[in-house]
Amino acid sequence: MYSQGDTARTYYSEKLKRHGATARGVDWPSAASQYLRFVQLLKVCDFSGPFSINDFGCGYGALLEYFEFRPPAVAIRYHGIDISPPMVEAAQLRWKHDKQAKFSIGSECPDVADYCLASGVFNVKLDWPVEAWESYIKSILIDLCAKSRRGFAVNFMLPLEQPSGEHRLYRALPDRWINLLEELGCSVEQISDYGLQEFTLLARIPASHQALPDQTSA
Amino acid sequence: MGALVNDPNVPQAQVVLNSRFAPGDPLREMIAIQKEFDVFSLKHSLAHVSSLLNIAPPEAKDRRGWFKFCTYLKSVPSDKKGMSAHDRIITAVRENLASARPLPVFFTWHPGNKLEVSKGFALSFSKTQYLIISAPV
Repeated sequence: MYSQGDTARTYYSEKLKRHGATARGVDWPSAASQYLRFVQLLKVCDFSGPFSINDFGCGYGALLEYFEFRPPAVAIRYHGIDISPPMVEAAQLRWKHDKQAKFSIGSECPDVADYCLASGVFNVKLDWPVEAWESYIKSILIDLCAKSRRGFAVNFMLPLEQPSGEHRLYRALPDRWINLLEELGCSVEQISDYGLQEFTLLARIPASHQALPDQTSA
Repeated sequence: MGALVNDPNVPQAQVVLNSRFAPGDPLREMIAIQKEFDVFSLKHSLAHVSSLLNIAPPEAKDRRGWFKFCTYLKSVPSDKKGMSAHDRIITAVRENLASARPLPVFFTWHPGNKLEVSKGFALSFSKTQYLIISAPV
């Protein structure tokens, strides 16, 4: 049976084939707009010391490109996960010189990290009914929460001010997903008004819920 | 221009350029990008900015030609004495995006030998005021 994950796999594999390992290849209009999203998502991270990241829906590893553009002051152990095998292959090729970067094919994060980030993974629903797509989003959010030691961050597109008749993109208001993240025990911060028609949710895991420290952390 | 980007593709490049600085969401995005990354700065070349913002024709050969055109603008004069067309575009866009009321930007072409920057109604059917940047061709 064709799943939502299959939709994402096919869609992004085709984008990569058409546009290559570029912002367009992961369906963003430009590297700059992608970086603007990373700025928001990375606000969940505490940069006062080293940490590890699961970059879920990593594409060709654009987050590493962002770290080259604006180098972080601390060491970050990076694990990119993507459902599209050609995308992971492209990422491995693009970042083969980076011994700290690791990539995996998957529809969930294989390991726990300090933080999980997911940029744009909920946007392209194509012909899936909203209810089925939201159930897919929920399963991903539950996994991100389970695989994050300190917190995770995700973004969603906001509804358009003028309805456009476009139904293949998933747009949501924040409350629906803030409520779920709070039910999962997270402390949630919403960021919007950063120049894009979307919002970012920073979900912090309370100390009482945090897993034991990862002895292999960066 | 036509020597660097295929003639029939030049209008398409203009549409891409103008759509990224159009009123509403595109302009809001550009303001936010400028505020966060200071991309329109004399520290960066127009070709680099163009690549980062993906403001270039989609086809590879035209893209290369477009970036060459951006670099060529360093040798083109502007309406500001002593300032190249390349630097005039960067400073005009930078000042506009940082202003209290940034205007959408309309890029166009004119026969001549220097780049011109003005404010006005770029679209005769619209009452929206634009920053108009016109390159000589």
